[in-house]
Amino acid sequence: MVDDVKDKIALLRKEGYSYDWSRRIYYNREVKKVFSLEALGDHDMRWLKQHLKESSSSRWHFYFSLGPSEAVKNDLTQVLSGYAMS
Amino acid sequence: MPCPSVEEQRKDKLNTLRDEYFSLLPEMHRLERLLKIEVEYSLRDIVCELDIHEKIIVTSRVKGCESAINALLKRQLPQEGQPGKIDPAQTYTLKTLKDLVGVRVAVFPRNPLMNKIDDALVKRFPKWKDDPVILSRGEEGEKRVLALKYYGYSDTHVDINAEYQIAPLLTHLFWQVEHEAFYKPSIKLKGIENNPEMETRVEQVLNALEEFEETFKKIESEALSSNS
Repeated sequence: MVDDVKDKIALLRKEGYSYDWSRRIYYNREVKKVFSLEALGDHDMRWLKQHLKESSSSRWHFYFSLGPSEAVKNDLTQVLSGYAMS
Repeated sequence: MPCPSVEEQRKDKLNTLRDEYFSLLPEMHRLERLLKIEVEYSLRDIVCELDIHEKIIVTSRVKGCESAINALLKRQLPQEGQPGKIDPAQTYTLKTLKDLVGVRVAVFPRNPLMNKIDDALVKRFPKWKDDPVILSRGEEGEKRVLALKYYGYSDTHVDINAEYQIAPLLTHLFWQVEHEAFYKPSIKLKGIENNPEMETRVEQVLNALEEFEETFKKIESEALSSNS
């Protein structure tokens, strides 16, 4: 299971995603997508590849196992849209 | 002529691996020194800009002989008492291990330094493979990345694998204590790392260290905002 998560992480890193240590998410500011580490463990590689392929938009897209709530989305959008992670 | 038993084959292989280890050792030490220098040089700009409370500590190590052999044996040789034989066509070599030589960059605080360091080192070692250290509590349990880790061959040593890790400094210090207690224990404490109660405590320590950093970062941000 852990090896499976590592493969997904490797793919995200190859696609230019960075890891946020506080929030345990992989994010890419260019395509405005966020994947939680939990979601990587809960879904298969096909799920990840499908969402990576989806075209990006001006809004942030969050791929979490549960939620996230609107409050969390707003907080992440603010932080991720800034120049530095807090 | 009787075939050597599994035990005899195993002993023979152990001696061969020990010979291999000591023949590789001078180059492993050389690679250790070179890799540490390369990592430190790659981080020089980041180090120059550190705030007084921020820390980057670079350590290195060569894997010990028995530790290297045990790591290889777990993967390749048959268990005692189980049927099977060592494949005479297969060469067992320590060179297949990914971490004969290791460098660790320990960082405080983790955000945003760890990502900056990661970017700098990925630029320097672009072909090295990503193999993060992940803590996972069972299949359904919570997962977390404890450290970033990469392995590969350096430009100067194309047959000995090395790795570098980027870890939070507090986690690195805890691991040093844990390693001494768990992996070099007296015979009475053998297997302690697999004790479920101990596993829970380890996770609690890691949680506490993470929360310490979160609180520190929060207070630091508040102090900076109130001073500006």
